[in-house]
Amino acid sequence: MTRELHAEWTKLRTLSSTAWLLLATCALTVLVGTLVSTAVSASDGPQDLPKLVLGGIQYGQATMVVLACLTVCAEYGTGTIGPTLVAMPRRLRVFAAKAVVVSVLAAVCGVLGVAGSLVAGRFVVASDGFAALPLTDGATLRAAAGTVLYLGLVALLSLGLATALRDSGVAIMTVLSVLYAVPILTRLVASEHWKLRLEKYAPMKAGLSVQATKNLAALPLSPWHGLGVLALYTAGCLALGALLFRLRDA
Amino acid sequence: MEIEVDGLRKRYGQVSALDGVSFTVRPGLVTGFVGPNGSGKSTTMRIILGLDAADGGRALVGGRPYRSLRDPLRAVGSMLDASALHPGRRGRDHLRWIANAAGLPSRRVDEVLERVGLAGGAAKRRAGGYSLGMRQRLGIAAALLGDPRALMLDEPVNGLDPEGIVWIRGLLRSLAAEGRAVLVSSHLMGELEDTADRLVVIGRGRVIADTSVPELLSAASGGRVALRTSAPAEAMAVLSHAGGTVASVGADALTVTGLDAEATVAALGASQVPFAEVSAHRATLEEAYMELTRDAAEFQGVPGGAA
Amino acid sequence: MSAVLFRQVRAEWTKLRTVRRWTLTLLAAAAAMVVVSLLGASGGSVQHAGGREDGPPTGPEGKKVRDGLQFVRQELRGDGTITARVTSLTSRVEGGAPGSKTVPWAKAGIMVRAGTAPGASFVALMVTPGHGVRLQHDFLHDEQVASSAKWLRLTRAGSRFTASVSDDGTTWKKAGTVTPRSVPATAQAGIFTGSPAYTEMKRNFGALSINDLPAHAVGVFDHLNVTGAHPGTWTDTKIGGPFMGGPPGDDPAPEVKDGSSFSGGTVTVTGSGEFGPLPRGSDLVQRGLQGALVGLLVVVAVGALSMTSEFRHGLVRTTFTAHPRRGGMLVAKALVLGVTVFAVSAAALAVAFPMAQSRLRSSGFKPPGFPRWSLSDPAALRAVLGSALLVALVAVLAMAFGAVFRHSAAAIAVVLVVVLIPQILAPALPLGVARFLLSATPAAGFAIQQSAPHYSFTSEACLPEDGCYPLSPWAGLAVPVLYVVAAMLLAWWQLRRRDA
Repeated sequence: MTRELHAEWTKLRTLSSTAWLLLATCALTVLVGTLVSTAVSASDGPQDLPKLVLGGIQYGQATMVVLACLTVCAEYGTGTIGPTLVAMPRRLRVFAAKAVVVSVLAAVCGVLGVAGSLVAGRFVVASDGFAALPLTDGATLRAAAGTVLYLGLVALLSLGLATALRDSGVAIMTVLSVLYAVPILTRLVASEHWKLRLEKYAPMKAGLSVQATKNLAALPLSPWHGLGVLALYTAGCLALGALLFRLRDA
Repeated sequence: MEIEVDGLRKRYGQVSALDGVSFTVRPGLVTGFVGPNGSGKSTTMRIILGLDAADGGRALVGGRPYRSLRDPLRAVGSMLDASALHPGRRGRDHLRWIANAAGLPSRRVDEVLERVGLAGGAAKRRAGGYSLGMRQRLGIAAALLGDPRALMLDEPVNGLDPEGIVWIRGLLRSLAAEGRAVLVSSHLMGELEDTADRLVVIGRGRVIADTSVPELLSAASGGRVALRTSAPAEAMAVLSHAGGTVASVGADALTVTGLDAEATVAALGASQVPFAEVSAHRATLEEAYMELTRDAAEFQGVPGGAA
Repeated sequence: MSAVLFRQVRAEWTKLRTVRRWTLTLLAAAAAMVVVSLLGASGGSVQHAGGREDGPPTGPEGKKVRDGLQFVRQELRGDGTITARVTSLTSRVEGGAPGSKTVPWAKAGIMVRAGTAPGASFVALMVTPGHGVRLQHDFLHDEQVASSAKWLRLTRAGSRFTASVSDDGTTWKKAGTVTPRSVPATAQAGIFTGSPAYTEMKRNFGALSINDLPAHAVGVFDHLNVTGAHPGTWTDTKIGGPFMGGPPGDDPAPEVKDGSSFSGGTVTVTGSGEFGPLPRGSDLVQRGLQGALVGLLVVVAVGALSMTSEFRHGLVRTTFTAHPRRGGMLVAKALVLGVTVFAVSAAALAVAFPMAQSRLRSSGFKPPGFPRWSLSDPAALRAVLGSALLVALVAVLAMAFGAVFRHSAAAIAVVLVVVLIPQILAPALPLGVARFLLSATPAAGFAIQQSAPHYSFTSEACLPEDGCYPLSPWAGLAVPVLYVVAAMLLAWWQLRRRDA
């Protein structure tokens, strides 16, 4: 699979949009996380500080979604899917190579974003009047590692759906709607029963429960279970994408 | 390396795109693949390259399906759609990822850029700004990357200027001379007249002719003889009597079928009918093609009718 | 409309109409609006609080209001004046030491009202710990008339009431004049106190905890003086229930008793309860229109693609060759897209709304506790048509961004981010920032779905997680209009400047 990986890496590397989208993902994650932490002060009561400073990922993920969708959809949009599959006729390998490249980029981006958020958050949180942000305790490390994994899973979920949908506009709209619209609708759902279910199993909400470090008992899903729910969605989308990629005419 | 197509069938919903297409592309020859728009040329090529799946029949490259080839780009180089480029990627980078996919050194990229005349500044620009001709050359460069034993080019002449057309004809001839199998499609027979050794004519998803250029021409000419005479009435009587079928095509021009030029001259001479010129009529490749595809064309204009 | 623009509109209409995928997408958007509106309205249930079966009182203007205060009064016949000095106003929060907590909207002041029945027309001038001196009348009208004052005076002349304030009781400043709806010639005049519950609110990241503690206002008055025809004896009356909302039977016995005591010229009035507009609670109109959000997501794609597909397929060259005035094409597209999407959404929401309301009623959201909404109510009609307008505006916004970026992915992502992200972000942000986002981004347009405006002079905060938008309905809808105008101008400039 080295050739497929090499080719897919070259493809992404040679587009300037890739670098911009990655930069935007890191920058949004750090900036929004820092801004939100700035706005909170110790007088507002005790806070889940790691979750607070890592919250920027909710917005940073949007550009990662765009990047992951474009990885596939731009090929269909411009027609380069033809040369791609002519040069690499083993389609599952191509799909796997795309998934690897995208998830590595997401992971690198996630590590930078998380590290940046934690470092910036440490200063901000101290100036808010809180005790220092713990950086090395187990819960914080879980939140940090979980956030990186979350970004990777969201990128892969986007890749899978984008492969099934092909059109970049439709794919980006679908993924962003799945991530963002569900929580908005949840707020207004009249039925408490469905409200709880939606909150429990909505992909973004479930996945982000990995960021919680305090009051874990009150979570609808424990941190790792939540991330597991997102991983199941991702696995489903990847399987769907791979199947259609393998079977459909290019 | 041979490309072999056997009984390909493909439907898109209600429309039958291919209905049992079979032909072979042999090494050392340029095979022209001709047919009107929508006749199934591109579909056939896409199936050969494993992009689309056939509903029936098979397409083999060197005896194997394309998707099972270990080194596909060394077996077949192809260009289906020259505009299939990401506008934000530089031309050279487009070739680089293809080279990576085939495990080729980046030295090859520079070699093929040189060969298609894109070395220098053009390859370093983003493909979004390329003219149709430059895209065509970049597409051919991609096809040549793997130094393939067979080549498949879909409408490579489209959008090229006259100089480019001459260049590509020379290129195709030299590639065939190197022993490669070359399949070139076109919807204009004239483009292939001086280039192709063999012709596969396709219409409405079927192969209507699979032949060499001279054979096709003589079949279309049908042994007709053109004749000029100052006494058309006498000539018609004499030639009919001699066993020919005569048609008047002008004030002093006749065409004769059923008699060859020699017999025509002998018959006229024996009856002392004056004639100015006797020649075997030579059909152009275009006429032969029109003849073949008349019924097979997907779209036909209304002759002389107001649009 | 000029003939050229008319032809361009026709051409654009043909383009939109003849792509089957877009027609299907628009129909899907309509279906989604109906289905999601119904889903959003179903399944909920409401518990009827004991003692609230008769519902809140109706104010003089016909709206449901709340009315609770401790009123020490006497009859005032015809014109006259009531004057009092408020020497102190403190809060007593149950479960806390006296004076340890302050309720910003506790009230102590003077009042003239039609009678003691809840919902009666009134005029009141009062001091508050957190919001200065207020002049209020008839529950829905409020004005801050001074930042602080000790002396308060209301003068009646016919149906007009003039409020004056003073710091020393000698130099008076006129603070305002109001005419309440129906205060009869013989009215009740006196002093009052009242206090909403003390609310402890914590907004953690994405989570909100609200804790309400019963609270009383303790007001100390002196220099009490009524002029005009009056009996001269004071009566203490408690108006309204103890705390609106909870079933009274379940309340623990209050630590502090409401009432009044006279000692010399000083009167101490301890009161609880709040008078003013009802809290927004669940806005049934808004709940019955949730499908608009989903429909909006779908039309974003249609809007963006209707423009970007022209660029992708080179169709734009044909368009510009046929009509060289590029601005005209943009306007024509906006008109066709906007009108089509508006018509489709209005039809879908007009179908969905009555169905959603009937579902809500069957879940218990029915009179008398909740108003009965139908499309003939102006506020409901405004919400339905306004939501359709919002969906249409967002479609046009996506189209205009499509012309700016010439790339459907970019246009769709940007529109979704500016419309959706503020709503996601809002509950997680401090209230001020959240309100700013919800009034400065196109998401502000969702304010049009609210049937009742948020009154700023109540103790309840306008919380984005309750679906409360800070702007009034039409002001909110004006925000996406401004965005559309700006995006159209940008698109027009780009179309003229760049090659096709």
